[in-house]
Amino acid sequence: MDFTSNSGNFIYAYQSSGGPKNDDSTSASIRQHSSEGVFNWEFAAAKGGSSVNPLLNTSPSGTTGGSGATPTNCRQRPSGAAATASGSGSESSAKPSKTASYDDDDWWTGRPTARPTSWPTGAPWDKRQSDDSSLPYCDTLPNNGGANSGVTTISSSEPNTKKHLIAHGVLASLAFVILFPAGSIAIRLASFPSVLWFHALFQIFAYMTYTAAFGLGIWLALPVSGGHYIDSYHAIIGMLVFALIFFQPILGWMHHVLFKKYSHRTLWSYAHIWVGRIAITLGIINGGLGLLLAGNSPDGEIAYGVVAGVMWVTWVAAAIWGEMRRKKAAKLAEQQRPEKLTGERRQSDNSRSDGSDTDLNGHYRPAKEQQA
Amino acid sequence: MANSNMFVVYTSADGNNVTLSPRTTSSYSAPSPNDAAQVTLLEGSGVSNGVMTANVRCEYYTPSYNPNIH
Repeated sequence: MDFTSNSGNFIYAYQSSGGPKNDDSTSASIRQHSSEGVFNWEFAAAKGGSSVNPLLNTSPSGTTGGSGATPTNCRQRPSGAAATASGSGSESSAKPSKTASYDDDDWWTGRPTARPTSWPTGAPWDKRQSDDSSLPYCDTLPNNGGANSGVTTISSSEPNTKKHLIAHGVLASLAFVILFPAGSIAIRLASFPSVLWFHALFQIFAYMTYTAAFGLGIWLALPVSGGHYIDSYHAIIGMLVFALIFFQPILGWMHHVLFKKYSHRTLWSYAHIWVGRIAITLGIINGGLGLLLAGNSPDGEIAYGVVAGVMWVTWVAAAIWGEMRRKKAAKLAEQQRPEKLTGERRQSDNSRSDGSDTDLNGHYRPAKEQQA
Repeated sequence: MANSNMFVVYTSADGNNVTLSPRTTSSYSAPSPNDAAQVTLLEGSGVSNGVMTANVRCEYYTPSYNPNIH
């Protein structure tokens, strides 16, 4: 930071929930901020000169103590004026409750109209002397509000960003740790009528869940929400996975139609299977990257890692088991029934209740016993 | 806020004053107290009407300020 310049940019951040910390230790554990912003502060307000403490003011209309500084640090609110405070002084102090200080909209609209009449003399950059409209209203300042003179808010994040972030994480985790693997395991292991359609509709539901998380994620990654994460690994993998899974319904449908026709896997089958495997694995990994990006607590990362890890292993085990069963069944079928195999007849097969199955699909549940 | 100098402020044990904790971090992780920082809380600091105020004198703070916000 260059203290020879007139002012410097600072960032602030605060956690608005949880109440007062009430801790004397400088190493107290703190939670991640829920909102943040950027402000510019004129160094003149902090220059001591002969004063040990230039920030101290005994009354709201006291002097800032800077050499040559103008005395006022707030202005009287005109009757009927909106509760606006350009360069709101309270933005820079970490208040437990911040609801009253989000007045940026007023600030942006109020400032231009006030400026022309505010600069009859003096340089535009010297707000302390001439730009009275940059000062907050006196009733918005704390008791020693003089410390906040010369503060101009440049940006501040929406206070509800945190909620969007949690919703994004919960929905995306739900999709990739629970829903997608569950729908994938179901088509492997489950055996009931219409399991194919259960799989299709369940995965579409999972994709819709991820779509909601994806939309939130894009919003969170862009400057519109105060984020600058769109080129992070987490965002790029998220977009890649979103695009990959988009093609899964058509790949799965082509696999289904061609399997019924040829009774064996086609290129479409392998595309559907491997796109799914890659997407789910990437999605689970990306959840961890997202927690890192969000600076989540180690406890949360461990919890995610354990649940996601167990689910991933279960899902891989189901895939391996399904492949092995498929190979075994195919070998048996080749030995005992060399004629053309029947295709998917699961939906109309009445012999299912005894555990047998006519599918030799392997992607679906393979035959346990042979049928003539 | 990697490599930035943070002035972390929260209420003191009795709730009537503020605790100033200079912290920094080198990565995307929670900041830890920076023992090298020489900071002093000045008069005028405290809690009033639900607002925390910290008037801070900072004589030395390392690492150097990093203008990158994210």
